Amino acid sequence: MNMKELCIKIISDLQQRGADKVAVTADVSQMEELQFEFNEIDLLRSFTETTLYIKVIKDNKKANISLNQLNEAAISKAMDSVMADAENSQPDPAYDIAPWQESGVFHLGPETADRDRMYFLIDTFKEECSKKYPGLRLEGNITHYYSTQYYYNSNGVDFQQTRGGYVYVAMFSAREGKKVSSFNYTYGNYVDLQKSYWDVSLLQELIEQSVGSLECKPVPATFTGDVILVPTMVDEFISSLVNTQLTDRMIITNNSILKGRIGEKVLSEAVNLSSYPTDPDLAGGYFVTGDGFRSEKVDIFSAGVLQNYLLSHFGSRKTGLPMSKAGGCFVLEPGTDKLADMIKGIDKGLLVVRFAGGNPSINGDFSGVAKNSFYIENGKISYPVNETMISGNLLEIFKDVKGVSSDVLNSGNFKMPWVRCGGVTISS
Amino acid sequence: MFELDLMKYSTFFNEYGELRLHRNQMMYLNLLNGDVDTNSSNSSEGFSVRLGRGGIWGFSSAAEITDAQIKKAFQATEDKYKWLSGKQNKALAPISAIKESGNWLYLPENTAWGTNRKLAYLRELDIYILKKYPELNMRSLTLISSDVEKKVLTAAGSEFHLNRPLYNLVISLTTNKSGDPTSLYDVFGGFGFIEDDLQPVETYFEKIDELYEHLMRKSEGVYPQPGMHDVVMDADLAGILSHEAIGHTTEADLVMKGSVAGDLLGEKVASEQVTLVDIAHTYEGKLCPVPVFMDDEGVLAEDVVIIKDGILQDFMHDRASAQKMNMLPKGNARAHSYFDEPLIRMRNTMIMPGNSKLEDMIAGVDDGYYLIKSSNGQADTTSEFMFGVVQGYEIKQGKLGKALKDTTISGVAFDVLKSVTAISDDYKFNTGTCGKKQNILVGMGGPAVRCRVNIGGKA
Repeated sequence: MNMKELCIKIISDLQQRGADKVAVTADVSQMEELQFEFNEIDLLRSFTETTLYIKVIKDNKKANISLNQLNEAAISKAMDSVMADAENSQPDPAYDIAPWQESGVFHLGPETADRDRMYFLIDTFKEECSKKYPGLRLEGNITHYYSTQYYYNSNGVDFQQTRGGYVYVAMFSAREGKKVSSFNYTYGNYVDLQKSYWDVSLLQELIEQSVGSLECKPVPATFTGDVILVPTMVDEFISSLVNTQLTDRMIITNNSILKGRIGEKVLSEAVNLSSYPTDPDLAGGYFVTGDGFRSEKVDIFSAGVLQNYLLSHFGSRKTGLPMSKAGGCFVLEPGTDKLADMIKGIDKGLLVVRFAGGNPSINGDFSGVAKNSFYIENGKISYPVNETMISGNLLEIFKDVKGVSSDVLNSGNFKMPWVRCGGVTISS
Repeated sequence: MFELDLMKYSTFFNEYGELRLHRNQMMYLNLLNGDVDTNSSNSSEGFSVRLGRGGIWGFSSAAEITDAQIKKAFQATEDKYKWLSGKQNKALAPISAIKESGNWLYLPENTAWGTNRKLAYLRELDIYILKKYPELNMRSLTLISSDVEKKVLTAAGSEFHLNRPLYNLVISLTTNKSGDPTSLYDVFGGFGFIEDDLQPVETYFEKIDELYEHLMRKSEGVYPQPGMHDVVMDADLAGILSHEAIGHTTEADLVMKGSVAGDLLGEKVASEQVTLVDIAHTYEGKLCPVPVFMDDEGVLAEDVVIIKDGILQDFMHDRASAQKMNMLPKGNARAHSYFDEPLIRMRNTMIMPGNSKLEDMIAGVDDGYYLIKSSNGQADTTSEFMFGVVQGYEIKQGKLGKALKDTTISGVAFDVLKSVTAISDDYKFNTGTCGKKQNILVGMGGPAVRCRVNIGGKA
């Protein structure tokens, strides 16, 4: 029985057991990881698995179950269990499954791992690295992934999406005698193995920074000033703002500080942000959402004006507000500034390269340690900092954007420029 | 339960390695403002084979646990190991191992609760909150169970079978009283089954009242003054301090990757009041939240005394790192899922209780903070750590003052431990999730600790 037949049979069986609506996704995944650490390529690990995700609605009551055993007994037991869980739950008219849409088959990326090329890329990189940076402690992996999701439901939804690619990961710290730098890391998600490790998401620059950060000191005094966020930080901060303030939980419970502000300018006009899962440049994108809709680009902020929430199908039905067939895969439009000029414009501030922070508060407040970061003084990078904390409010810092770079980093999961923001407390 | 006899595969090991059957089962039920937001259960099971020497490994896994699949996986794993070791032109030392065995199968005594009973329990809590505190913006009640079953055979003939239950009740409240949304949560539970160990619902009414009082004070709270301060960290924070700040820097893999702790073995790294232990399974005759009796490499688990009376004594190991560093493995190698390789992980990490009273410790601070609950945390090779603080109070002239808004604290772990001036005579344990490559459950706990740290805030 192929996956389509299996999913259709589960839907039919559950309907016979009394389910009103059923959605079934079969996720067939394989992965092969080649890992290196301690200057050795030390692990070749593989994994194949099929996971079934089943959602049942009966009398407006819902339950979900997932399992990775595909034998008849296991599936039958799971169907009994999910039906009982639904029947014993409480009703909510907002529960639903995706309506019928035109079926689609989507495919991107290679099915088979090129193990020899993976080995060559790692081996070359770590050998060059150990010659050029003998004190560098380096680890990482290249992982090939290939997965197909089959989406079916009792409304006739029929999607099949396949994504394959390679994720490069590198993590490192510099050491000389007893002096140690903070660790740093980066990654890139690509559909092939064309890139050398050095070209992955600013890796060479980050390694140089680590090697040059064996002696750090805190900022000279506590002050409120400007920070330049590198692209990974821009993604981390703006994702945090969007995911805490514009998604189901906060909108449903009326706790979002952005609810009711569609059409209002809430951020700097330099902020043009979309969630773009179908961007052909993003290897980590997707064609179908988790709740069974064909995904599409959704504008979130245009010139700082809030355009859309990121509500799921359930969140939309619960609130009566429009749903978004997107999430993640954030793309921030570049500006016109050069990074060097952005730094030149700051009298006293920080280049924030990594952030180790507490989860932001629901009002958007954040605080944490600026890691692998640099003090900016009189328009120049002055020295690497340690024991330096930054705090502020996510909404406020993106209201106070003073520069956006023309250069953009594409990690495969996001596209972000460098951004200069004001109003951040920098303390030691 | 896994019935398969693994010993029949004992002749398949041509290198050191393990065959592991592994099942994770999770249930998640969330009531959000009285509505069922999530009602899901997940089961993931399968097996893995890992073979290697000298720290070079082949690893294969599959969901279908059959004789044919296991035999196929042994062959595929050996091929992977040979491919990988063949590309590296050097002698690889075989990994030494001794034979151990045991069964630790915890099973529920009472009949399993169905969704209706779990939901009725949460609903009773929700109704209590709604009636008593109707002005709250958000009430979120979550019941979670996370059970693990493992059956492992190693090349040395070690064999064990474990079934370990764990449950949590999470109560989260949010207010918009001051026009600025503020939330606070508490987590209860630990080792055990919902149907056997969840306390009667009335037990939590008082906890809800306490949580509400703290939330109201937090909603009118202040930002701390940024910079270095004297603080009293309650058990929750002392636990995450033990885990993030010290624990990670003393994991042997991180030591070999350059952690600052690598140079400090045998040296004074903390106040002599500080003894810090990664407990395998039992403390003072009670099981810890995440008991590990034998690890996934078949090593019988024992406590690792990391710091004793302020002196760094030991690191946490897997078999390969112990062999490389000529030290003893004590059961720290664990994998999260059947398709994950064992990594060096903490189990139940805590600073040992001292002899001070919490109220005296607070009374001894002129101008500082009493920090009660943490959120997430992160460690570094430099031993600089941070963690989020979601509940705390000012201390002014030895007395508690205003509540704090959410903040973050940081410090250099060994400097902070050297600044310890008092440790309380009681302790608490919590569970947490550690995200080192694989997300895995860990126990964290300890007494209250008075020390000096850097606090983030607003100038």
